[in-house]
Amino acid sequence: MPIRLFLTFLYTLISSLLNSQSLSVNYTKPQANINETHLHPPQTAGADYASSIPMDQGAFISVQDVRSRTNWCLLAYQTEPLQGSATLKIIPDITSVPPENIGTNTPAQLLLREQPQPLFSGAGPVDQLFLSFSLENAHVSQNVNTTPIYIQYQLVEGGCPQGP
Amino acid sequence: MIHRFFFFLPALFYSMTGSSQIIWAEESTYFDLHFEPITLIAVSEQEIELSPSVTTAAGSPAFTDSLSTTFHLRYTISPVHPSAQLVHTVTLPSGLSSKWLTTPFLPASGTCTLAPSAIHNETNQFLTAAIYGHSGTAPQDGIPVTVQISLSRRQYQNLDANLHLLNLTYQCL
Repeated sequence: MPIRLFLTFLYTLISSLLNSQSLSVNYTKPQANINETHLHPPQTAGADYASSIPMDQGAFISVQDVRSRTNWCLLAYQTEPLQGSATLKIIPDITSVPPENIGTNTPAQLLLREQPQPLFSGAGPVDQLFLSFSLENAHVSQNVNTTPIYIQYQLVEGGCPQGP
Repeated sequence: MIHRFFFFLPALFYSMTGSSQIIWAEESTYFDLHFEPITLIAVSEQEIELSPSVTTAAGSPAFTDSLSTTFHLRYTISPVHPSAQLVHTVTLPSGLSSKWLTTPFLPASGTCTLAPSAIHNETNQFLTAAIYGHSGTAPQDGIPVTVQISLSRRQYQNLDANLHLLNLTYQCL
């Protein structure tokens, strides 16, 4: 009996290591644009960028090859900071996936930093989870030209830890 | 022995992954964030007043040696290059002399210094000054800039009330 239990545990362990859970991220656009309509007030001389700018950018996340009801957590972080004091916020749209695929402790939003932070807590395979983005604390005098935004996504086993 | 191995496995597993959570998959992504250049310049409505504004008992103004106007400049300009300039131009009717007065100011963001006050005489119709290091935004209530025009009694008497004396333009170079 203990040997059978041991073999079952070993099988579970090895299969979880060998199982190739897949994660795919597809942005709706290759480039997001910020212009004078994003000033506050818009198109006004003397105005600076609004403190929070909803961006014309979105992303679809798919998590496949995961057993149903298996909990997982999607984390995200940036590998290079933005210019000046600007930061990027990611907002997962929990209405874009069935309720049974939403795990516990799913955060409402994520302010992107250089350390991985929980973005979405899922259960089982998920198709087309939609993410929206907003730009925070940008300034005309600091943010210019074109900047590549590098975001790293991690899919980890288990649900997301409870937020602060 | 087997029981010991059961306890050993999770420890081995934890040391292999280096984390309490196993990373199943990871994806590196990027997109471009493009800030379009912005050049927005606005001047408040200006009103020319007699200075000093003294009226005689007969109802006509006393002789004055100058007309002046103060207006407010507001701008939002993206940094273009280090030596970019915002050029202020005032067009005057020929024959009038003029000068303009400015004071340094702190922009709402970025850096900005107005060119020194200047006097421009005689027939040249243009009065130009550069506002250096203009990236950023001016205060919402604007920057006060004063243009003063000297007049002789004859010029004053010949002034057409409806004549647009000042034509202010701003250009970002």
